[in-house]
Amino acid sequence: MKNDSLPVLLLVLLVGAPAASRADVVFLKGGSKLEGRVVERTETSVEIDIGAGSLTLSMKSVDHIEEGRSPLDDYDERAGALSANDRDGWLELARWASGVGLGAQSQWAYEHVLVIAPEDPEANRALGRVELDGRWVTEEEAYRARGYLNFEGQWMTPAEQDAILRGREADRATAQARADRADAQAREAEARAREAEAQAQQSTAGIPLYWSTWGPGPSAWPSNPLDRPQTR
Amino acid sequence: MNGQYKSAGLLLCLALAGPTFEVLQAQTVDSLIARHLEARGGVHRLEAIQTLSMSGRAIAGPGQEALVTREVRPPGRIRTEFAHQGVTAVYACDGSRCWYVAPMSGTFEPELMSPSDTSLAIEQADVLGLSDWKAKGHRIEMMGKETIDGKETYKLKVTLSGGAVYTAYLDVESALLVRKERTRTLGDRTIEVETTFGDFRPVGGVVFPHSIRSSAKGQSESLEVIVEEIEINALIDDARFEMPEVGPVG
Repeated sequence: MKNDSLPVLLLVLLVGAPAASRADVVFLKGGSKLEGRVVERTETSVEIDIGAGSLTLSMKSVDHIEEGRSPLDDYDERAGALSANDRDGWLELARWASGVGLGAQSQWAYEHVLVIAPEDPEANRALGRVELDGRWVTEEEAYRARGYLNFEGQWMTPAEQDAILRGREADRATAQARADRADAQAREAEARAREAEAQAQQSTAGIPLYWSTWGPGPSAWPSNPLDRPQTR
Repeated sequence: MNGQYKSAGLLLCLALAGPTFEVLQAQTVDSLIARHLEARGGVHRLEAIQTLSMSGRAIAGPGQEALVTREVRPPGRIRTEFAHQGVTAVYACDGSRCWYVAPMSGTFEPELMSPSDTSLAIEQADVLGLSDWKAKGHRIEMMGKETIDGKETYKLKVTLSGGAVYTAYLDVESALLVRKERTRTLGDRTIEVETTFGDFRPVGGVVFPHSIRSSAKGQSESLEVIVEEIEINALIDDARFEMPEVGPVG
C-alpha cells in the first residue's frame, strides 16, 4: 500500500507545485507594492504571503492586484533545482536573493550552506558570524568571549559600564541636591518612563537608519512580518 | 611718546587686519566652493539638472539589504522607494507636502510626514548642493582643516537659509565633498549623523558619489547606499510626487 501511494503523492506534489508558485503583486495607492502570493482575498481585505510571513491589508488601501511572476518564484524554482549538497549552488542562490532584496531567503540559503559546510567563510560572514580563535561564532559570543557585556544595546567592557553607572549616580546625586525630594523623584520617574519607552521603541524598531542626503526613508530596518505581525 | 605711536600703530594694524581677514576668508570660501563645483562637473552642468533618477542597494548589515530608488525634481520634489522582501515603501514630497506609505511598518495608506521630517526631506531634494549658495541665502564659513580617513580636508560650516546647520568636509586634493555632519533631533534625543561619500564617478559629465554611508557619530552600525544607476533629466511625471487620495474600496 505504501509503495503504491508514493508515486501518487509525488505526482500530487509536482502537479501542485506550479499552483503554489503563482505570484501576485498588490499595488497600494501611492505606488507602494507587495510582491508575493495572495493567500486570501475578500471584498474588504487581502492577505499576501511575502515569503517571510503574511500581511493582511484593507482593500481600501489597494489600488489594484496583478498576477505575475516575482523573485520569490524564481527563488523557489532555483532552490528546488539545487541538490541539497551543492554548496556553490546554494552560495550563488544566497548572493542572488540578497541582490534582489529577498533578505530572508538569502539568509535561509546561507544557513543551508552552513549545514553543508559549517566553516564556509562567506556564509558565516553573511549571517553576521565572526571568526574567533579559528572557529566561527556569533557576534554576541565573540564579544562575550572577549569579556564585553551588552549594556543598553551597546557592547562595552565592565569598566566602561561601571564608569557610565558611576557617572549617572553622580548626576543623580547632584540633581537631588539641587531640587527638593519630591521634584527629584517626579523627574526621575519621568526620565525612567521615557527611557523605558525609548528602549521599548528601539527593541521593536531594530537598527536605526539615517538616510542623510539620499532622501527620506524608513527610520529603522523593517522587521519581518513573522517577527512582528502587521495587520490592518 | 614712543608708546603712544606704538599703540596707534597697533590699533591701525588691527583695524586693517579685521576686514582684511574677513575678505580673505570670503575669498577662500568663494574659491574653494568654485573649485568644488568645478570638480563636480561645473556649474553649467549642475544647473542643467532638471530631474535626477537613481537606483541602487541599501545595506545595513547581514541579511539587511534593500533595493532603493530616488527620483528628484528640484526644488523640493523628491520620491524614494525602499523595497525589502518584496514589499516596497514610498516616501515623497511635492515641494511642500511630504508623505509616505510603508507597509512593513504598518502604514498601508498615504500619511503625512511630521513637520521636522518634511523640512529635512525637502532639504534632501536639493541635489544641486552648494551651487548658487549665495543666491539661495546660505552662509558658509571656513573652519580650518581636518584629516579624514587619512586625507586632509577643508572643514566648512554651512548654514542653510532655513536655519539648519551642517559641517561639510571637502577633500583638499579633489575639492569633492567627502563627509557631512548634521545634527538631527529624534524625539527628545539629539543625534550627530555622519555621512561619508566615496566611489566618485562621472555620469553625464557630473561627478556623483556612488557610495553613501551614514551612521550616528561614534556608532559602528551604519547604512550604506550603493548607487548602481544614475539618469539625468529622465521624464518624471509630477503625479509621482503628489500625495494620492484614498477613496472607498474600489
